[in-house]
This record gives sequence, structure tokens and C-alpha cells, in this order.
Amino acid sequence: MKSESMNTESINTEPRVNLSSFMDGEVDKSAGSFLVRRLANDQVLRATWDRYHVIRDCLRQQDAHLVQEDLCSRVRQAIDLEDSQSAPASQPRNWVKSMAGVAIAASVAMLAIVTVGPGQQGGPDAAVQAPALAAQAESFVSPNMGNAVPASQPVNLAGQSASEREKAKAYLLRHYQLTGDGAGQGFVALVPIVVTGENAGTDDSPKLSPAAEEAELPQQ
Amino acid sequence: MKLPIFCLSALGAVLLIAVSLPSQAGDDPQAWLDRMSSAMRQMSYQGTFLYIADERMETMRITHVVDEAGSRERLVSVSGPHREVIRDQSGLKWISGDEESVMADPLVNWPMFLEQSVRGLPGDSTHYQFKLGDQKRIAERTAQRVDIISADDFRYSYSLWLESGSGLLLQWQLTDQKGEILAKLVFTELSMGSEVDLSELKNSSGKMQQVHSGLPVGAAKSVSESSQWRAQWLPPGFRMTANRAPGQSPESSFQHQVYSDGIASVSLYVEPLESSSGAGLGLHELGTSHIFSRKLDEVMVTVVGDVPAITVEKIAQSVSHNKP
Repeated sequence: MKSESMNTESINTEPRVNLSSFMDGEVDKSAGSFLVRRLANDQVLRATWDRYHVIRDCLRQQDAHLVQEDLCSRVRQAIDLEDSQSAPASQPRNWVKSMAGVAIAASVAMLAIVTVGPGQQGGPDAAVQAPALAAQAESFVSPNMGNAVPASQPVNLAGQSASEREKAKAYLLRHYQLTGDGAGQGFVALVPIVVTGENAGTDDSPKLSPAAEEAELPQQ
Repeated sequence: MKLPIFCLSALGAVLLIAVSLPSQAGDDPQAWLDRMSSAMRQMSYQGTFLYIADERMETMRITHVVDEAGSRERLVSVSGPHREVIRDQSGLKWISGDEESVMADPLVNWPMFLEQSVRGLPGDSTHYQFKLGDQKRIAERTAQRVDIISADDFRYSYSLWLESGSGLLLQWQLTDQKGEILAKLVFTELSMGSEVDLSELKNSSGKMQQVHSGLPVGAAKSVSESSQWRAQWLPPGFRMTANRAPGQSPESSFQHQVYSDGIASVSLYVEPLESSSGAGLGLHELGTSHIFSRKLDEVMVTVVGDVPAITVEKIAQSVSHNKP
């Protein structure tokens, strides 16, 4: 089944293989530039790129400081569902969860590509390391603070109107204005605001005009 | 063979910076973080990075130059809608959309990436665990992993991969308490020192019709304990680090406080109800940031920050009038 799916893929194999190295910055400059151009224009390759992140992270578990069993078990469930021709039902809000729940099952055929080569997957080291990290982290967590959840579920402003996002962006800009040269600035403070401040990725998103920006700022 | 003067100057600047940066971080995670902040502040670098969060992947390019003219930066989107941010001595200019509208503010001058020392607040070192991880190759360079692991559910954990020679940030990753990756930034190529193409500092817009961002003027920063409205609950280790009391002008009639543990931070806004448009009541998220707004008597209370939802909600619910 997997080999058949691979043969029917509409994109070339080489860019997909390079993607797995590219997302860790492990390709040379020219190959990286080529893939950036491809990703900007090739929706299929971009979708593949999204799926690779979840698959890779779960297989290698290299990024799990703490316990990531829940996510990976969902990935495996999605794979099982794909095998039984069933569609995943859950649609969690988180981007990792979302892709794990929806996109992974459809891309199970690509697992063969991601897992090629003993050096590219977790191997025995990752299998041993993940529980060890989890155990360390568990002992570090204050026992009375686990499982804290908000009383309400957050509404994602990415799906709301541009004016709602601009209001939120104004609060964030003010926030970083006051923290900008002091504690709590954040490692990449301005980057998320630039990326998420507009509905990037949606070509028909409302454009921010200077007049609108001023009008939407909270009134003092 | 004669080298051009600017090449010699650039080489000299790189050598000077190399000497001034902490050279031996060894096995000390804090020393690696100190190297990073020094390198990000003092070095010129240029590169392409990917930012992945909230079901979105964006490719951005940054140019950061430090020379006799001071620190200048330009961040521009490679994919998606055109976004461009330029920071120099005159402040911040934000060019957005294909129509290239420009928002500028001379008072906003914070860097794209962290350039300050990364430490918990004095006396509080128990809320994060700092660890060194393995090395790996990123953007054709060797990178050292440094983990900053949160002790509880009220703040996120961070993983950083730092260029082994300079300490420059090559990869950043935000993780919640369950180990789920919320956002990731990774450089795919990086140049530094004399390799940086200064021409990329130039903005792409020929017409720079600037409009003020609308941010409040008079960004004087102080910490006051006599604020009328205060959060009665904060995550362990959080303290008030900045406070802007309401002023008389329309642009500063709201109270704004910042609370931080030295790494994560939240802002508390208290605005007159009749003049506040708010961000909508209740809990919202934008990227990795959370926002919680509620009405309280005659004011709107809003808490925002790059922290878990539970944190902004609990802080906002705890706000009350601080009677003298």
C-alpha cells in the first residue's frame, strides 16, 4: 500500500527527501534557496512540509523534553486509521495536534521517506533518551501545579476578523514596548507579531491600512 | 594584493567582537545564554529562517548590522503577504501588505531577537531548569542545544540551538508543559561579519509615507507599588517590572503594568470601560500569545502575554482595586 501511494504522488521525490533535512537547516545554501522558492509556490510541497514536521518529531522524539507520548500515540492511531480506510475525527486546536489528527493519516505513505536511513530517525538513542528526559522533567515539576487548565477555551484570532487581530496586536506591541529593553522581552519577540499580525497565508485577508490601524487601537 | 579598506574594517570589527564576546561557555548553560545575548547584540548577521506555528509556516529574512552608525535591522517576509520591518536609530518602520502602507514609530526600538541577558529575576532561580543538550548541524554550522525548562504550567519551556563559534541563535523552539511544540524558528542559512550584504538593509518601498503607530507617547518606564489596580495573583517568581500609570492625555489614560519572571512576561491593562474597545471579552489566542479581557466595575481588565492561557486568565481574574 505504501509503495503504491508513493508512486502516485504528484511531486518529485527529491524535494521531499530534501525537505526532511531542510527543516533542520541541514541542507546547503543553494539547495535551501531552491526549496524556499519551491515552498513559496508549490502548495503540495508545502503541505508535505507541514506533515513532515509532525511525523519526524514523533518518530525521532528528539524534541520531547517532557512527555510526548500522547501526541505520538495519536499519530500512530492516525496511521492505523489510514490503514483501515477511516478518517480521523478529532480536530484539536493546536497546530501540532491538528496536523497529527488530520494530515498524518493521509500522508502515511511518506513515512517510508522520512524513516529512510538509520541516521535520520530516533534509533536506540532517542528511544532511551525520551523517557529519561521525561523522568527528569517530572521530578522537577512542582507536584501541586500539574494539570492546570483555563476555565474557558481560547478563541483563535486567526479565524476572526482583521480588526480583532489588530486590537490584539496593539496590546502586544504595547506589551513589548514596555518590556523591549528589560526582563521578559522574549527570544523572538517581534517575529510572531510580524508573522501573525496579519492573516498571512490567506491571500484574501483584509489588508491593514494606516488609517484602520489607528482607528482600531484601543481608545484611551 | 591590496584588500579594500572596508574589508579590513569589517575584519577588524569581527576580530574585535570575537575578543569581546565570552569565549568559553563550556558546560554552563547560563554562560551559553550570555554568549547568545552578547552575540545577538554585537554581531552583524544575515540569514533566512523559517517560523512555524499555529498551522502556518513562514519564511523570513533578517539582516542585522552593528557598525559605527549603530544597530540596524531589517526583517522581510520571503513567503506569504509582504511584511517588512526596519529598525534603526529613528525607530521602527513597519511596511505591510502589497499596498506597502507604512506604520512608523520613533519611540519603538526593540530588536527582532533577544539581545538582553537571559536570566531569572534576582533571587528566583527555581522556576526554570537550565540544561545543555546535544550538538547538531543547522545551516551548515555546529549548534549547541540549551534547554530552559519550565517548572510549572504557568510558563512555557524553550529550547535554543546556538552557533558553537559565536553563540548566535540558530534555532528556537517553544514547548508547553506536555512537551508539545507550539512554535519553532530555524535558520536555513546564515552569514555573519563581513559576509553580510549591507544593501539588504534598504527598504523595498520607494514611497515611505509614514504614519504613527498610535502607540502611546512618553514611554517612561518605572516601577511603582502604589498603583490603584493590581493583580492579586501571579505565577510563582513573577514580579512587577514596569508600570505606566494613567496620565492626563488621551494617549495615556490607561494603566499598564508588566509582570515578569525574567524570561516570560505578561502585561496588565486597565482602561476606562467607556473608552475601551478591548480585544473582545474572554480568552483569545494569537500565535503563541494569549489574551484575556473582562469587565470589572467601571474598567476593562486585559492581560496579554506569551504564556499559557491559564496564566493570563488567572491573573486577570485576580485583579482588584488596591485600596490605600
